[in-house]
Formats: sequence, structure tokens, C-alpha cells
Amino acid sequence: MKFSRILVEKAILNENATQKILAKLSSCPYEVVNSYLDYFEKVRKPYLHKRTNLYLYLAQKKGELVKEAPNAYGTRGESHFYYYNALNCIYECEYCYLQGYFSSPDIVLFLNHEEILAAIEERATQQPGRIWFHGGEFSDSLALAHLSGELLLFAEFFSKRPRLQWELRTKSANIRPLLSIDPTPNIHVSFSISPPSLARLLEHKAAPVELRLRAARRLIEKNFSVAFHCDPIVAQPHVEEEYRALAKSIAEQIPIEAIRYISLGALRFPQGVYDEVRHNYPKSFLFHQYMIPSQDKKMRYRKYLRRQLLQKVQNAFLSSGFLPEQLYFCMEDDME
Amino acid sequence: MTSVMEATKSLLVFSHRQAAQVFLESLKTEGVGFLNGFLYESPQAYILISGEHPLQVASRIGLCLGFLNKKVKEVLHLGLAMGLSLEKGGEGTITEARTVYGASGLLFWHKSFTLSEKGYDIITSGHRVKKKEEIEHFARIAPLLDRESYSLCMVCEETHTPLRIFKYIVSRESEHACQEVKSLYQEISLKLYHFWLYYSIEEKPQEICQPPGDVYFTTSMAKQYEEYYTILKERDNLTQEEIWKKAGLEEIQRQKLSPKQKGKKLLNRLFELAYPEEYAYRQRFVQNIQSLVDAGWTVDLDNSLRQDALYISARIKDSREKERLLEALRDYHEI
Repeated sequence: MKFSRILVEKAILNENATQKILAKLSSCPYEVVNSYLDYFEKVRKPYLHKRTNLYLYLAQKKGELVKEAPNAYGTRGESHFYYYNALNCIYECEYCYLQGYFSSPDIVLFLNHEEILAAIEERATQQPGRIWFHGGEFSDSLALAHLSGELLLFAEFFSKRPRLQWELRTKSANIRPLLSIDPTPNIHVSFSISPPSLARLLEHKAAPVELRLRAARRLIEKNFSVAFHCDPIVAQPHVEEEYRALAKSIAEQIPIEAIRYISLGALRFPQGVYDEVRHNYPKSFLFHQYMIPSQDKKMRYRKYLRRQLLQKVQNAFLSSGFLPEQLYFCMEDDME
Repeated sequence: MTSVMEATKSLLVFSHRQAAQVFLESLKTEGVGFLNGFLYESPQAYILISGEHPLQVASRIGLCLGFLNKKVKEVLHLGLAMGLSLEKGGEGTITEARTVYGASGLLFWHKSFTLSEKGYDIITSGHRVKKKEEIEHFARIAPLLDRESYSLCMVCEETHTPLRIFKYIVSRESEHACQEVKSLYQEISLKLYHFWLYYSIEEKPQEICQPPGDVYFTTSMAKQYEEYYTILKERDNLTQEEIWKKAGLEEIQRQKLSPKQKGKKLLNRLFELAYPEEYAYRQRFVQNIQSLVDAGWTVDLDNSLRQDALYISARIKDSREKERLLEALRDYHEI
């Protein structure tokens, strides 16, 4: 990973976490700025500039540190929240909604970890029952974990609070920072996966699916709770065969009963993101199937097609020995 | 693509007359109309001296494009830019601008314009940037700085005129950069001229084939055409000839229709080829309400908008008809 510029907020320049990152990236000179907001998203930087001109901001997150997740985001009947520890991702997945979410692809790492944990704590006190906190909504949770260095602190926090569930979502195989953690049942690592042939076409720079599965197996051996997200499912002629092969491959490498859940979701985009993806990848096979604005204003496949896709993928997993209660539909409110 | 234009020549835009000097002398130029003094014409190209203040640039290019009224094939800006944060060796070379950003004072404008996949990014400032801290401030956005590109981008976008920007990079290291540039203008003008003449500016490959002249597309139709054409080319590996053959272009051309109606027919056919499932889905809806159509209802499925749009006009005579329609609509959404 090579950043073309590092911009550090003055207020955190002398913090330990900042200095550690700067030491690790010593080949790239840094500049000190008052606030990352003086530059990040101030101009509309094209998404694909991340290939040649990617900046890293080291900053503090102010304002909203924890945000409520939309309905149907995670497992049913429980509250789900995201927390902001980073913005943007080093990978380049053609379907990624981040390409229309921020008007810059630059990476921001928020290093005020204690304040983020305090916000999580505050949120937790307002909510009874099991609550989920997800780290990978605006960035990949593990891809830069060796740099950002917050995992130990967060693990320590969550391990003392069994009611709170902590989920790290990733497309990386960068699990080394996790291996020094003593896992508790409320720490969950989930891998986003697609059939390898699709991942090769769509998930540029992300770890190959085989490596993600190997990483998942290693974590299970270390007693971590592991889950998978088959999201997005893209309509294509051999979807059932592809997912059957994927399910078989997972079942061969990982004991099925050790997998906490598998979420399934069909391809969808907010309208702005759809336009941006079309602009960035006009030839992508993501657009070979017609999409329409659905009730929730997201661009989706027609309902009958989504139902077919989800059923096919669901069947692929069930026929490989996965249990119905391990599977759930993500962001598919109208599919139940 | 929207119409067959009489666009013939490029419009070469220079901020300073000195930078255009070799072009003006070599291309046998003559002043044009009431814009004589800053707009010139030669057999090879039009030449505009735009000035460098953003407002002056915007007004002159706008005036010029309006006056020439679609005679301009593309705008090529050949100018100078200050290197803010380039690796050594960038100075003295000519590079294409990739993305153009803008600023007023020290505040950045959010909108940007991407002109090319390659080249350096550039930021246009409304004022002369001399102070070290200002240079650092702008360098965090782009490695090159000028005073005119953003205005050109705005006007060309508004007028749908293709624009490419090429910059001769001057160093910021020199304390007397301005004087230095002035003394070098003859040399810079010659370099820009040679660049334009010999290295020339490679034509961008036209990936989307143009429809024949007797088929007319509005801007939104052209966008759809591009979408369907790309899908058929990428997904089904069809060539231009194969696509047109499958779409029955010859037959459409033979029909006694206006160019726009022909365009509409061609698009409908391409839609069917690009999205056969969606087409079948819509056909099924039409069949479902056939009895209503037979009874004089008008049902139109509009492909021109990417939305689930049905235009239905009807006079509902009794509740059975209403139920029939509602049932068909439910089916349309729930199949």
C-alpha cells in the first residue's frame, strides 16, 4: 500500500498512535494540517484517482461517532450500530457503495479510539439487550488494522461487556493483528465472500477468496466467532453452480457448525452510487441485468429476480449442509 | 451524437498572446468578426486569446463558442501551469490535465472536472498565488496550478463541447518565475506549436459507434443508446454490424418515419436485445391488460426513463375494470 501524501491533524501529531503509524510509513513524508476537513471532500476527487493518488489522513472524529444501522442490516430482533474508526478503503470493488458515499476516495483513520469507545458505551447504556457494533461500514475493518492499531483496545473493551457484540467486516486476510487477542464469544469476524471467479472480476486488490477462507479457518481454530456475507449477489447465468461450489469449498475447509451466520443480499445501490459506479465501470458486468428504483429508492433487480437469486444461493448453502438458521437476508426487507 | 453538426475545426485557446505567437504567425490567421482582436481563424484551426482571469476566460470562451455556433469540433487549451509539488524533472514538459479543481481565495470549489484518464491534476486559482503557505495549501489538492482551466471546463461542459487541456509546466522554484516565463515565451510558444503539430494530440478512440445520419437521438436517447450498445458489445461480444443487423436497422431505415421516430424504434429494439428478460416482463404486463387495451385503454411503458414508469390513461367504467387493472399492476410488481 503506497500513499502519495499523508496529512496529519496538528492536535494528534504527538499521540502514540500517530507516531507509530508515521514510523511504519516513514517512506512517505507527512504534512501537518489543522483539520482533515480542510481538505477531505473539499473538492470532488474522482474515485479512480485512488489508483495513483491516494492520500491518508490521520485525524480525530468529532460529532457523531456511532450511528444506528438501517433496518434489516444485521440479524433480526437486535439493535445494530456502526462506529466511525475509518473512512474509505484501500480495495477497489466495482460494486462498492463508498464510491458514491464520499466525494473522495482518500483514507481517513480516526485515532481518538477512547472517545469512540466512550460513545459506544454511552449508546449501550441507552439500549437494553444484545447490541451489535459494526466496524466495517465505511471502511474495511481489517485491511489497515496493522496500521491503525486499535484492535487490542477494542477487544479489551468488548471482552468485558458480553452484552455488546462487536463485528469486524473484511475482505482482507490480514488477521495477524487479531491473533494476539484472546477471543470472547462476543467478538465476531465476518468475511465478505463471492464465488472466486466473480471476486477476481469485481474485487480488485482485495484478498483472493481462498485466502479469506484460510484466514477464517485460522480464526476458528483460535476460537473466534466467524461469519460470512454473500453480499452482493450479482445476477449472472451460473449463479447457482457458482455458489454451490463456494458453499462446498467453505464446508470442506471450515466446520459448518462453527460458522455463526451467513448473510445473503442481492446487488443494490443508492441512486447516486449507481450513477457513480456506471461512470467508473461502464463495461462492468454488474449492469448486464436491468435494475430499477425500488420502494426504498435503491436501485435493485426486479423483485422476482431478487427472489430467484436469493433462493438459488440459499439452496446452494442448504444443499451443502448449512442450516436454515445460519442464513439470513441482509437489507432485503421485502423478501421475508 | 445528437445531430450532424458542421463542426470542422478545433478551437485552440491560449491565455497569453505571447504563447500563441508562433501559431498566429505560422497558421495564416485572420481576425474573426467583431471578436477580431482575440479570436482568429486559419484553415487549420480557430485561435482564441482568452486572457487569464477566470471571469475573463469564461466570458471570452462563452462568447466565442456562441459566435462560432457549433463550428468548433473541440476546444484544445495550450497553456502554462505552475508546478507546485512535482517530482524533479516535470518542469519544461508538456502534459495533459487529468482532473481540474477550482478555488476562490483559499476556499476550494467542490465541483471538479475530469477530462482525461492520464496526466496531472490541476487547480485553478482566482488570484495569483505567490506565498509559500498558499502554494502548500493548493499543492494538497493538485500538483499544478493555473488561472484559466476551471473556467474553460465550466463553459465547455455547459455547451457540451469536448475539451482537452495541455500544459507547459513552469517551475515554482525560481523567485523570478514570471520574468523568466516572459523571457521564454517565444521558446514556449514554439514548443507548444511543435507539440500540437508533430506529437499532435492523439485522437481519443470513439468506443461507441455513431448511428447513421438518418437516425436522430436526443441527448437522453443517446445516453440510452450508449448503455445498450455497451452491453451488447461487452456481454454478447457483438460487433457494430452485428448489433445493427440484429436490431433490424435497415428495415427501420426503410420505414417512412422521421429521424427521431427511427431513433426511438432502434432504441426499443436495442432495449429488447440488451435486456430480454425485462422486455419479456413488460410484454407480459401488456398481455395481462390486453382486455383493457382492447377496450380502448392506453398503456405506455416508457423505456426512456430508468424508472418503473407506466403511463396509463383510462376511463374506468365499472369496478370490474378497476379490479382488473389493479390485479395486472400487482402482477407487474410481484411476478
